[in-house]
Amino acid sequence: MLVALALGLQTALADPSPDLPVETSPAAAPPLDAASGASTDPTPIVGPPAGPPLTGEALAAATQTIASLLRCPVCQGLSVADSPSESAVAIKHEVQRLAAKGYSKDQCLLYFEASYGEFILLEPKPEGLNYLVWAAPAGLVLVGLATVAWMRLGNRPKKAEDAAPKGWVAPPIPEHLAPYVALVYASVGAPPADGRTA
Amino acid sequence: MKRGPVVLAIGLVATGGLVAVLASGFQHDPHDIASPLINKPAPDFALPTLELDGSGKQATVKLSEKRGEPVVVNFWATWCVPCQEENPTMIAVAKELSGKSAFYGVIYQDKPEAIDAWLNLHGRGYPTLIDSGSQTAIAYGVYGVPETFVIDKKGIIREKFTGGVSFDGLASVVSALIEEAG
Repeated sequence: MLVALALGLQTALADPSPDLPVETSPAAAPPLDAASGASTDPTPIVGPPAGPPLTGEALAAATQTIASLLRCPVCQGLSVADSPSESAVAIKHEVQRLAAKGYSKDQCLLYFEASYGEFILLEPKPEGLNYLVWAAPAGLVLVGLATVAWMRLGNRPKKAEDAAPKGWVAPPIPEHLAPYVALVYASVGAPPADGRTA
Repeated sequence: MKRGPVVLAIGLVATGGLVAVLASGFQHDPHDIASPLINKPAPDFALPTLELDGSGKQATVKLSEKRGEPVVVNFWATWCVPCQEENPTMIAVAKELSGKSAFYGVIYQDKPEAIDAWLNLHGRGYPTLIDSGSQTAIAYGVYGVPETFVIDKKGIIREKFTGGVSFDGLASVVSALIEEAG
């Protein structure tokens, strides 16, 4: 419940308000699809491309793989590959651009981590405190199994000779119950531990 | 050994740990994500301006050519209410520190026809840059808008403001960088 509350709060804070009323003046604004001059060469950060340039199906597959490992920055728990948001689409295009140049999956992930931080990675890297993320579930399962096993062993029926007080003698079985007792013995496959017979 | 208290203790420890983890998450703003770019070289960009120069052409602003003075890069959008709220502050700080620092607004995922009208309505105090494809925003790790990066004279990112800025907060940071030896 707490997690749901936290996620809900985060969503509410992150939700942009696209309905801001503005006057439009189409003539004055140049198109946004003008050639971008952004210099986003990842080589200073991740080195030269590790592989050959990709095209076609190989490029699409690599883009999908890498995008599925990146967190959509404006969504809750969605990968860039799964989100239709503008931010995710922009990042996916950037992934495609880098993969087309031959940058490997690790290089692409490192590039985005360098600007967004480790939060952008859907899977925390297995290092330092992050090991808790991987180990805690398994550890909790083990503790739970151990607890259950311990409790079951504790509740196991004791042997009659251990359970019966010293000097206690089992009462004789009434004759009219003998056939039923015999059936019970037969069903459990053994006579009782105190050696009584029907 | 009695099992009841032991099982209860295990349960309490496990539940307490979980509650502690969740409680720690409530103690910080989920938007307040520290930028790994602080004290790192600012990603360079060369972006066209929205405004036309005297000859009616778009100029291009290249960050790496701005060494020697602090640069403030503010990512914003017309659909962003906090951007509207901080706009007068950004303009006031830019005016206060005019000639000693450079301010740029970078448009973040917006409709072209909305930008100029918005600026005419709410005011403009410095050049607006067009980040087609959001490549620059991605290079700066922008999660949302407004986000403001303060870059020193050597091109190092020294501060990042997430959300609307205050006059004193932004002006003090930029003023300190102006005083630093280039």
